[in-house]
Amino acid sequence: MKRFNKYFALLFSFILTAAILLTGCGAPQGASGGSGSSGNSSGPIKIGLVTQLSGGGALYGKLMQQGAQLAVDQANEDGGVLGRKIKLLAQDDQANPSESVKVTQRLVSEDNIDAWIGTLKSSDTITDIGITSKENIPSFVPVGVADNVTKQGFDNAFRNVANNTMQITEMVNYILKEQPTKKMAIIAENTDYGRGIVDTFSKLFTKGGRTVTNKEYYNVGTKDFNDQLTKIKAKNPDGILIAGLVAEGSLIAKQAKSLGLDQQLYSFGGFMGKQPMELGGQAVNGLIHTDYFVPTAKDELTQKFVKDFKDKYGKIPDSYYSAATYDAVNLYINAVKKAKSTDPKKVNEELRNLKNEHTVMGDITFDKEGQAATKVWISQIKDGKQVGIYHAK
Amino acid sequence: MFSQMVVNGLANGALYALIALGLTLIYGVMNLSNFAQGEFAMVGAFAAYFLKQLHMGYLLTVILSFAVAGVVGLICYFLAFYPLRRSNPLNMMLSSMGVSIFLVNLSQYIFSPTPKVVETPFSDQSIQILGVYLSEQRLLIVIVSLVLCGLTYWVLERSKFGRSVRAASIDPDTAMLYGIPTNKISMITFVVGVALTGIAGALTAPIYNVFPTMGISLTLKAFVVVVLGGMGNIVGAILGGFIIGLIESFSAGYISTGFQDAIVFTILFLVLIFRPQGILSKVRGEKV
Repeated sequence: MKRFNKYFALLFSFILTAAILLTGCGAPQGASGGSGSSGNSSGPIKIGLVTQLSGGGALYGKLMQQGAQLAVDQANEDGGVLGRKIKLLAQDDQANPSESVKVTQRLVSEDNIDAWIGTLKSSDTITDIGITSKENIPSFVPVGVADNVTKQGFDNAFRNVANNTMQITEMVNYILKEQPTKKMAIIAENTDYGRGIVDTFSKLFTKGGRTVTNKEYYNVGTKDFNDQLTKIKAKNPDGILIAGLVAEGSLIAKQAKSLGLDQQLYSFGGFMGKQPMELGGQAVNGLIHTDYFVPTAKDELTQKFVKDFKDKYGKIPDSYYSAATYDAVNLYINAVKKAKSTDPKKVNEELRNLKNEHTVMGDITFDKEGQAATKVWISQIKDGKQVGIYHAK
Repeated sequence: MFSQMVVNGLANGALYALIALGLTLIYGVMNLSNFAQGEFAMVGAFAAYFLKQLHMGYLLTVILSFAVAGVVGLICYFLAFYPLRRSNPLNMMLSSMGVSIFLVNLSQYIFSPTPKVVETPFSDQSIQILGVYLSEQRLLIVIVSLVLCGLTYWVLERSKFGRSVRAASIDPDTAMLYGIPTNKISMITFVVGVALTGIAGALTAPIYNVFPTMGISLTLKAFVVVVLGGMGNIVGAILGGFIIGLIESFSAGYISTGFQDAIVFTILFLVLIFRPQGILSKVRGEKV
């Protein structure tokens, strides 16, 4: 028997290699037909989650894991899907590109996962989906927001969160509509993310008839922003936009105050959750930023999710990491129910055909690139709390 | 804007001078390029954070962080540097890189990488004179740094201990023949050198927050300062600190904030090419 297995594995891997070589990445049907996903239709349905569970971003990775586990447990309590239980296989990628590829490869080839969810970093997400796309495994992107994730020609990638351009557009729309800020200074991290925001925001903001006074940059890990802020102060803007994450952003807010800058502050998704208040204290009070998830939103499903999460983990899910991953699992489960099968091709087809599927993060319809057209929230920090102040329909 | 840039540059310069002072002292006596220097600022900052949790007064935590960084420095000295004292200086330098990585990873493991906030009675308040702002905390950094630089200089130039340190730095073998305990001198210099940096960490903690990787950029800046001032040259390190602070501030103000670091490191290259002995070498030829 052992011997047979060995030969079978050898033959199988040969066929798989040949199939990949002959068909290329674009047409993996031949491979997926023979892959494990249809071969293990009796065991549990396996969902692989790849995220950072140790080191720097572990906090966020664990929030993703908790959201996913909650959805899986709820589905299993309801008797599972198609008579099968669901199993979450969470893997630590240490936010390291090579580790991420390694664990994804293992999930695909050894665990024969039926669906994949990940990661914290957009760049790792792209390379990982490069692997899952070969088997056409339905792959969800709940957290990475770089525009190019859904622009790689993957037929199996679905992002149930707004991308970067969408959040910048919403912020500009909001300011043009609701805020008197005419002259905006931008202080941005010197990365693709920061520079991307500077370009897109400036273009849209000036198109709306307002001006950008400064474009100042800092390197990630910088701790002193007096030089940038002094330049901003000299131009006397009405608002300051922080195009960066909370570690630097909270210091920028503090140092701006001690330089006598009292302008309205704006930022993006980096200021979600309670970390900005912990790090920025009084200095971030009044800051307006984009948010993907508002736990106090008056929506039945959102309130149910918040309550269930709190019952299970004893804390309120105050940022989108848990909610979006929770949604991703449920989107998959519902697609499987509709397809009446875990066959990747059929499930992907169902996901593409979704129309306004109601989830915690909003109504999801995927476009042909797999990007959901959801609207971000605009939130404000008021007296140590995150308050949703604007949500376009 | 000009006067604000000068003030910003001098305030940052005072911090660079304090860290570079420790680095250059250690280089002068032990011939060690200590790549773990910034990590001792991190140790000092974490010490301030935890002592603050015990409801200690902020100034007391700053003084105690000197002691904590010193003790950690002593342990590192005996584990990582003392055994290599007779070998090639390159080995000690590599060892210091190991110490740096070890301290960063250890603190990530123990304290988690999330930044921590240290409150001080000064942090949120600013002094404003003629439209120029300087936060009280930064003023404190400038004062403490100037006092410590002056004190170190005085000890080295005027005291008996300082003379032994200088002797050990110029020629350790001859110094030993004259009865100067060079091993002990280098141990004390190392401990004081990193403890000074520990104070710098505790002083900046309220402005920069505290996290395990905070020291890495400080080490790099301190090296630029020390190279500029001449390796092992005390006055050079102090002056170099202020010069780098001002260059940073002006290059951000008049050229581009995006190229700020690039400009500073370009200066490092130019100094290494045209004046590898440092800008002050003609003024003061001796080490330490």
